[in-house]
Amino acid sequence: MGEVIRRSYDSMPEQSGQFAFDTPEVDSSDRASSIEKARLALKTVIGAQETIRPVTTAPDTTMSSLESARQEALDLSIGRTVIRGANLEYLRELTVQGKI
Amino acid sequence: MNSLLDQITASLAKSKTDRRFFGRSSSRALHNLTKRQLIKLESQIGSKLFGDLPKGRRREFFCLDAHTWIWHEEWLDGKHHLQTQTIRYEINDDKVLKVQDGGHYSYLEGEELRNLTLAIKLYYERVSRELYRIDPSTGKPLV
Repeated sequence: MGEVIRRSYDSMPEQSGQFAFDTPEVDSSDRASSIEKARLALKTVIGAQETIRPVTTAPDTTMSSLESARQEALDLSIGRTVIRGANLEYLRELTVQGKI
Repeated sequence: MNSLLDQITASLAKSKTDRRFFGRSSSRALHNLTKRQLIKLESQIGSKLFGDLPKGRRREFFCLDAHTWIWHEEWLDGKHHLQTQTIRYEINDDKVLKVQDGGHYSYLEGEELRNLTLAIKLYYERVSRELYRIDPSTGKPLV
């Protein structure tokens, strides 16, 4: 999967470059329209590159991932709490039965 | 609860076998007790996890079952009327529901949640060691 994405990434700039800079027609009679087309095409290239960035970029450290880590720690903590409660019940049962 | 605890401890102290419980050896002294009585003994430890109480105030903190923990306090108000507060903590898969007197419900979060999970950890470790004579990390009897 990673290799497939990497290959796409490697080939993307050339393909997109053609798209970005060949498509707009430089027409002196309608220069504003051409500039707008070029701007949109360039935006398309940048957008395409951004979508494949996770293959090579550093781990995300945004608030959402920190929040996710916090939730994971919380889940573990709550999970341990349930295990402790179950263990206590088990200890009581064994004690009443005289097994410990 | 104090009177029942007093009865239990007096009963244990009288028993020749049960003197071991007050010494250092085993939890065998406990096996004549019911689950309810064991919970009350656990609560005696649980009530001390949060420091000293003001005079005239009584606290209980204990594990009712795998998913339920209870906090209870009693005190006399200025007119010498008994006041009580009971909080039930219900442990769900990823959240803890706090149920208070009068039907107030809320999910625990932030510092209160951290404090509860820490209290439960301490409770488990102390009750395992001091009451059941079990190592809390291995589940094996203490030597």
